[in-house]
Amino acid sequence: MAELFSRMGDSTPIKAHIEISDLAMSRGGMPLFAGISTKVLNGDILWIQGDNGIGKTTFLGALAGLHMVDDGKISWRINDHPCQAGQITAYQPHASYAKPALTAREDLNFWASLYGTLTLAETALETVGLSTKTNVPTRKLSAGQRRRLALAKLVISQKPIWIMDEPAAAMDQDGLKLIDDLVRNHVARGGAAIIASHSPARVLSQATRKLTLRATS
Amino acid sequence: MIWSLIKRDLILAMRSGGTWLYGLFFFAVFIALCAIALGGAFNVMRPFAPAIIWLAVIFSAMLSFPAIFQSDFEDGNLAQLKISGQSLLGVCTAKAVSFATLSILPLILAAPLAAILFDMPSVSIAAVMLSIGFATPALAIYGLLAGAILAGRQGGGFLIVLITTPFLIPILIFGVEATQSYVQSGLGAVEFRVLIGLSLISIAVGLPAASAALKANLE
Repeated sequence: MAELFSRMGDSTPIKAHIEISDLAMSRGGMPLFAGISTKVLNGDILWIQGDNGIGKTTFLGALAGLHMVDDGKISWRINDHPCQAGQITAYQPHASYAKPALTAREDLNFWASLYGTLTLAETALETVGLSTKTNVPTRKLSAGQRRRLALAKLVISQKPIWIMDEPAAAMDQDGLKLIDDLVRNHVARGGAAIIASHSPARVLSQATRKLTLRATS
Repeated sequence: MIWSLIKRDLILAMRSGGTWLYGLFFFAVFIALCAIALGGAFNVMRPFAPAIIWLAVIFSAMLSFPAIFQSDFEDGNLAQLKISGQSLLGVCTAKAVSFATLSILPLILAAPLAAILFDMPSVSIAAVMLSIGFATPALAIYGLLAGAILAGRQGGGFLIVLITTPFLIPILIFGVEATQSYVQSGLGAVEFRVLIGLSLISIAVGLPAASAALKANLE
């Protein structure tokens, strides 16, 4: 872990923030939630909580720039200048997006080559505990191991704001500690994380907050 | 990034258990059935040969269109490509190149075998290969456009045929004509220029349209 983050430098070079004002969203015509306003800055951790079907995944997708919003506004900013969501966010969806026929190394290297961080890929695989599985096709990995691979992709994206959808699902005790450590290190060097989770929110930095989504009545 | 995506798609195709060759099998079966239906006499089949080979290419390409974006859309890779800040125009370009390599190139290489079945003269064999080759960008990009419009929709396979047919008709007309006029005029035949023109138009118009359709489907 230490080696990985030392290779990435002391601090994230980008001052990034997401501002959400009076956000309302729906899914398939059914309203989910409304009136959400908050801000995520460098160094923040925001836990998203709420019941099943409340729209946590939809909310995270919108923060990653994948969905249109019904009402309100999400703005992404680098150094206070508006930017595209993809420039500052990396998104770990709930389902794995590893290609089943590629090996863990090939799959990670593909994304690393897009992000221009091929030098980090090997260390990232080691850090998430997949160093013995590098040549195994991802379809033969367990659900937890595929989640570890997805964590490695977050790290090598070098994006300041991580958006994580239920990262703890299918993870063993060791894996839960890995998530906490990665997030803690990321935030310590000036990153931020937005995490949807059913487990109780853990304080991983001084600026840890909790946002509970509630259905519109 | 375009090269990384092409390389990944080629590796995935090689490990797909031969599914990328279905189009080629279809091409061979279609040609064989046509030869049987026409009675197998060379003097009867020879005049139809360019048209039959071109039809086989068009149908085989149509069979492969739905797969262009399907798996990447369903497993979330396209969404990740979009939010990783990659240009969708680049993604479409890479997909067009890998489609041309995996689905059209095998047909061009198999065309001489089909031509032998119809006892075509060697100059016509070259003509068939060249005409398909010049039309490859247009074939790939219009399939890509239909695939991008219908990415993620149920039952898209049938609509892809309907959407691509109007684009493929001029390619079919000039492809068959080019094969015939190559014998007299060589590569200078006006039909070859039309085919190249169709391909250039598809690059200028079809690629941006496909990336716009993809963007709309990812929101």
